[in-house]
Amino acid sequence: MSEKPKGSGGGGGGGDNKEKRRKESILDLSKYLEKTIRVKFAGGREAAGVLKGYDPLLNLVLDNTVEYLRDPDEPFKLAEETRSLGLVVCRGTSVVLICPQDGMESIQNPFIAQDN
Amino acid sequence: MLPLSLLKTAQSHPMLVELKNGETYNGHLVSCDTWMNINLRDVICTSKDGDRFWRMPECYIRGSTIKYLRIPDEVIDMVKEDAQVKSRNRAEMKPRGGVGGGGQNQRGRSGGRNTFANRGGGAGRASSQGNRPLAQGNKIK
Amino acid sequence: MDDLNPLAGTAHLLDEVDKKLMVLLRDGRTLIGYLRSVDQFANLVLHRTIERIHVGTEYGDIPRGVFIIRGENVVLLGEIDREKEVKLPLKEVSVEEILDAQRREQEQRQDKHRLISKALKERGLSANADLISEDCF
Repeated sequence: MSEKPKGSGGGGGGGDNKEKRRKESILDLSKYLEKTIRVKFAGGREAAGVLKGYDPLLNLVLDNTVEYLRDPDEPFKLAEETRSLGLVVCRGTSVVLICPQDGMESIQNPFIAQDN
Repeated sequence: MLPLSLLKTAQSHPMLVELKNGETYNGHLVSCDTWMNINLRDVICTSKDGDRFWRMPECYIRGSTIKYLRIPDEVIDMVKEDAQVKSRNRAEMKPRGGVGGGGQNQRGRSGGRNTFANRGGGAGRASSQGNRPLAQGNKIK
Repeated sequence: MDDLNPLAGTAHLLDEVDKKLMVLLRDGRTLIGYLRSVDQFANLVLHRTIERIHVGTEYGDIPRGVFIIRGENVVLLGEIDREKEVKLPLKEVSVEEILDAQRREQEQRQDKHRLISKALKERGLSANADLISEDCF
């Protein structure tokens, strides 16, 4: 949308509203500040760290970061090993998925029980 | 009804999301935007090979990494109902619009449409209850 | 002139709405369903979809329901010629049978990939990701 001067009366109000909606991300990262989050990246890397900062483009600052390493033969299969990365900046464009580390757990196949 | 409008209609419904990397996510849609970025809750993540699973309370997925989403049948029925009701509503309201006065009529019209929309949504939600989450994709075990 | 139309390119897809179409995805999967909607990105809504799995001359259909497909994952999409369809030398088998056949086929493919990457490694080359990736297109 073209930029309109602010405070242009009733019509401007509508525009402001629209702008607000455009700007507001459906992801509120503030709730994860100082909490450990799990991040998956394009290309298959995965890391977890304490969220220290972020911007609207999804660039992240993570502290005490660990990367979950993968099997060299099967690049999309997570191995048990991790390596410590410390304080990192994650490029927003390569972020695929964000979820809280707290409450994320590996489980048995939940779909078998459901089918029976 | 555009694909993204349908996705919006599917909010609060269970769905299966497959990413380009082959991982699938089963969960309830919390929110989505025009980039197809989505928030899911009560999620089960399945690895590409279909033999490892993770539970996560919620997750955010970047729209550009999505391959497809599978949504329950009743969501499409909901939008069909909605579209039907809306067009019927429009057909009913139009002649009356000619008779009524300007400003008043406008307000009455939008009010009527909302009432119908709500009714449609309510019916859809009721019928969705007891619906099992979408079955797993074609995972090869 | 046509370039001014925001739907140029995808506009003809609108003619296919409510037809029963076959959609081939980049990962090689085949979906068949009723096209209900399309947008400017060629995102699709497929209704009453089945996934058709082919192995050799056998195929099986799995009901899958409603799909919202991101357009960029679509390789091709088209109507099935019913007359030609019945003449094809393909045999429909049960879901269990076709899944079984598919699993065997995939295991064979994986074995082949393993052999290739091993052979490449022995020659001091790294396995090409394109060879391992299941992205067919």
